[in-house]
Amino acid sequence: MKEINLMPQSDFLVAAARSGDIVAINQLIKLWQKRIYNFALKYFGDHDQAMEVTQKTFISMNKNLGKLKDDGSFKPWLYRIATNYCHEEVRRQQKKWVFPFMKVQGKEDQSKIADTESESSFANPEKTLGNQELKDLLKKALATLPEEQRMVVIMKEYEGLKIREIAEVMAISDNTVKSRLYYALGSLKKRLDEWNITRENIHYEL
Amino acid sequence: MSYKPTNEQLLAYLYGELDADEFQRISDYLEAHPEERAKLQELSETRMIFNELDDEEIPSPIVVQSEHLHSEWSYWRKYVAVAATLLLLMTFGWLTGFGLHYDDEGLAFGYTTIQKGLTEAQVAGIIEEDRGIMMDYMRSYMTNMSDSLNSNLQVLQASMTNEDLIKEVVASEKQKLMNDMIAVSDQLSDDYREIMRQLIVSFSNNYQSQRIEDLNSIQAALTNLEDATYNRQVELEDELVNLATQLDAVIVSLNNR
Repeated sequence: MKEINLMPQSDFLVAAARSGDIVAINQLIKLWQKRIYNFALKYFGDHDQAMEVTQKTFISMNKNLGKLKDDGSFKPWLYRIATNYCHEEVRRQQKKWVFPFMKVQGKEDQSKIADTESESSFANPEKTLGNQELKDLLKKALATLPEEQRMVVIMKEYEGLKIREIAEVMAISDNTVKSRLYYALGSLKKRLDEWNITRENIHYEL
Repeated sequence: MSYKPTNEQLLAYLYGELDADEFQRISDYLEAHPEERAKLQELSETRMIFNELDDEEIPSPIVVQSEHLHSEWSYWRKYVAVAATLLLLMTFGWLTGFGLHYDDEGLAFGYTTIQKGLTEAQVAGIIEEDRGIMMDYMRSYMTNMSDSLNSNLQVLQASMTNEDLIKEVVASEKQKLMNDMIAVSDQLSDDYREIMRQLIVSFSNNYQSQRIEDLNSIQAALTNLEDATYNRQVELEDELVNLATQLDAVIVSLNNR
């Protein structure tokens, strides 16, 4: 799995940034913005929303860095900010008034997504799977997870946080994290089986 | 062996986040239960597949411009902007010599020194001056005319031999005199028109109320001027008649001689 080990360098930068060093702050943002952006992007599957969360996260980071007690816990602290803004963004989107005929997300949409997919190349297992096509399907699969499971999976699989760190970020117990991860992986596996995606057919063309 | 790890424990095992004891215990369990191992293996494969989803580059990187000053600066920024705009306007006004002036006659503004419209006295002065010039011109013209008549007379007196010649000369002189008179009167009216036009143009720049007053006074002055001109013309004609009579008298005395 991807293990992002920025901690030693981050520690040093966090200390400098906390003392108000603008270069260190920008360096810290440079190091982390891609991670936070991708975290939010996988969560929302939407560039604009991901960008919104990323910007808010770093503005908040810059403002509240002084309140961080332990330089070593910068990473979970940063993800906690991002997670809060993700939740806020979800609430904001729900509050947003949309014309009924413009509403994209509905009850029938889930089944519609499933329908379209059965018509895709997976109806024919012999057919190889394009790289972009696979990525789009993986994104869709992530999108079908309940929010709290999706958040945990992204933090574990793509952001490389430890179970203990995820628990800290989301203010839940270690066991809840493990349980959510377990069910999430199970759902994702089920989805892959439905679409007939296996390691064999994705590596066929690689 | 009745030991059966929980789903949570199996998951921690999958991610390698167990202490050595527990890890060993679950390893042993999976050794004994290949179907459980296979299930865990499937989850591991699912993770592998989802690992295909790569990071994307951030399209517009974020940069922080200033540090803690930021919030204070954003508060003061609008006031600074207003002050800067005022300063800019003042500098611009100072550079271009823009000025304002207010007195009993009203508000006046303009670049460099403020020029006010003409006062009534000034207008009267201009008209008076103009009238003087016109009278001087007419006086000098009449002097010239009498001079030329005198010289003609002298010529006539010098060559009194031919009566017909004298008559002819007198007639042609009379005609010439008449033509000149007509030309002079034409020229005079042209000049007046031009002067009036200039006056009106300069007045149009003045305030509306003042302009109406001034126009009224111009109108009065114009009437006076016309009267005066008319009088002058009458005088001129009288003089010409006198001259003609004198000329006739001269002719008669010549004939008698």
